[in-house]
Amino acid sequence: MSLTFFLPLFLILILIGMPIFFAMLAAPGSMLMLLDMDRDIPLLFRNIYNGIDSFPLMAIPFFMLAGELMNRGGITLSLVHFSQSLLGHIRGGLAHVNIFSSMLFAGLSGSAVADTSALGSMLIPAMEKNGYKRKFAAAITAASSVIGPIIPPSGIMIIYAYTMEVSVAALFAAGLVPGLLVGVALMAITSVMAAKYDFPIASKKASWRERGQAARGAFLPLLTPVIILGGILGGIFTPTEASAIAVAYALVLSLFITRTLKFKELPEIFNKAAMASAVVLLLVGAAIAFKTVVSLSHVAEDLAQYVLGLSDSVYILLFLINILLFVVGMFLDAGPAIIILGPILGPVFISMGVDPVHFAIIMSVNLTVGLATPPMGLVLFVASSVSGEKVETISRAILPFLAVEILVIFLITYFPAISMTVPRLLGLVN
Amino acid sequence: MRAVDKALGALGWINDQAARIGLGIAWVLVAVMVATILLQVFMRYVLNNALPWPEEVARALMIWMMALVAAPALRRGDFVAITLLPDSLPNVLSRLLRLILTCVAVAILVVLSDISIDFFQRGFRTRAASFNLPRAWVYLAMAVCYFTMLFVTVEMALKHLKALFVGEKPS
Repeated sequence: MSLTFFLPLFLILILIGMPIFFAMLAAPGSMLMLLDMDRDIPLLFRNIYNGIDSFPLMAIPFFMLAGELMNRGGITLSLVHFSQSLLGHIRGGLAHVNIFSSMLFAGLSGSAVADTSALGSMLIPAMEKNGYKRKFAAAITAASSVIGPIIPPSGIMIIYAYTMEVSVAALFAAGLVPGLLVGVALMAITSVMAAKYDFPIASKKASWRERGQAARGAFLPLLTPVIILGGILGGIFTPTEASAIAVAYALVLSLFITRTLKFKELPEIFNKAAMASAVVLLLVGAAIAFKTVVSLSHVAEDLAQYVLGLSDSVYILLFLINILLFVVGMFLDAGPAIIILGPILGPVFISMGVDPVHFAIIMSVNLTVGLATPPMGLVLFVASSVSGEKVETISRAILPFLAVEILVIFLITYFPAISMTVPRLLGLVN
Repeated sequence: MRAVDKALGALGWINDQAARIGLGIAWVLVAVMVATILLQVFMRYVLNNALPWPEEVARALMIWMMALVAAPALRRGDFVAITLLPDSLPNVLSRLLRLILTCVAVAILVVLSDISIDFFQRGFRTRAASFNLPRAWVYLAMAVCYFTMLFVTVEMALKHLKALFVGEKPS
C-alpha cells in the first residue's frame, strides 16, 4: 500500500457525506498512521495553522462583511432602481434589470449567495407582480448571481490565488470581461425568450432626467468597485487593504448616508461574516495540509501522467477537464472544489502551456456556474428559500440559462484573449 | 439512555456558553482587525510612516476570530458536506452513517486537540516578530478552536446515537 491511496479514500469519505474539512484531514492522516509515518501528523497540524495565518486571506472576511453591510444598507435598492431606469421599458424589462443589477452588485460583492438573497428577495416578488412566473424569476436570479464571483472582487479567486500562488490582482483583472460576457449572454437569451413568450414591460421609458437621478442614487455604492479595483490594479493597495477600505466605506454609507443600518445591528452582521469566513479559513488550512501530503505522495505526478495519456491535444484535455469540473460543480461548492482540485489539476495544464491565470479563470467560471446547477447548486437552494418555489421547479426553469453559461465557459476556454487581455494591458501578466 | 440525556444536557449547556462567549468577542475582533488595517493604510499613505506591527496583529486577531466562531458554525451545520447519500438512505441506515461520520470527526478532533496543547507549550519558545509576546498566545487559539469543536462533535455524536435508538429525527 502506498500513500497514493489517500486520494480514493478522500473521495469515498466526501461522497458518503463527511464534511470536507474532516475528510481532508482524515484521508491523509489515516494513511500516514497506517504507513507508520506518525511523525508527519504534527506536520499536518502545523500546515493547517500556517495555511490560515495569512494576510492575503484576510480579504475573505472583509469582502464578506462589506457585501453584507452594503446589502443591509439599502444599497441593493438603489442599484435596482438605477438598472430599472435604464432597462425597465424594454420587453422583458425586469428580467434584464435582474441580470444588470447582478452585474452591478458583482462589483461590490464577491459571493453568488449574497447576490441571490439580496436581489432575489427584492426582484422575485416584483417580477411576479409584473406577470412573470415565479419559477422563471427565481431561475434568472440564480443564473445571474453567478456573475458575482466572476466580476471582481471575488472570494473564490482570492482562495484560488492563495492556494495556487497566483496574483490576486491578475485574477481580478482577468475576471472582468468573462463576468460581463456571462451577463451579456444571459441578456441575449432573455431577449430571445422575451420576444417568443411576450414578456411584460416593467415601466414606461424613463426620461434622461429620471435616469440622472437614479444614477446619482447609485453613484456612491458604485464608487466601491472603482475604489477597490482601482486601488488593487493600480498597485496602491493590497487586496486585503482594499477590502478593509471597502468595509469602512460600506459602514459610512449605510450608517450615515442611507441611514438604513443601526449601530446595534453591527455585532450580528460582523459575526455573520466571521462565521462564514471561519468555515472557509479552516477549509483553506486543511487544503494546505492536504497539499503537503499530495506533494509527499507524488500523486499529482501520477495523475498528470494519466491525464496526459488521454490525449496529446491540449484542446481535447481542456474539453474533458471542463466536463469534469462541471460534474464536480453539480455536487460541490466552488470554494472547496477549487481547494481540492486546483493543486492537482493546475500544474498539469500549466506544464502544457496554459497560462496559470487563464486556467484559474476557466476553473473559477466553470465551478461558479456549478453553484447554479442542480441537484446540489447552492444558489438554487438560496433562490428556493427566497422565492418559496421548489428547488426542482427552479432547476428546470434554469436550464436555458445554464446552456448559455456553458457556451460562455467554452468561449472562455478556447479564446484565452477574453480573460487575458485586461491583465496583459495592465502589465499584470506577460 | 438517561446517562446520554444527562450528558447531552451538560454538553448542550457548555456549547451554548462557548458560543455565547465566542460570538460576544468575535465581532469585536473583526472590528479591531478592520481598524488595524485602516490604520496601516493611513500611516503609510498619509503620514509616510509604515508601522511594523499591524499586519501581524491583524493576522493574530483573525486566527482568534476563527477559533471563537468555528464551533458555533460547526454546530449550526455550516461545514460544507455532500449530504446526498445520507439524505437518501433509509432512516436507520442514514442515522448509523451520520453517527459513524461524526465519530470519525471526534477522532480527528481528539488528535488535533492533543497536538494543539503541545503546539501551545512550544509557542513560549518563540516571540512574535513585531510585538512583545510569546507566540503561544496566538497558538492558544488553535487549542480553543479544536477543543470547542470537539465538544460540539461529541454532542452531535450523542444526538445521532440517541436518534438511532429512540428513533427521533436527528437535528
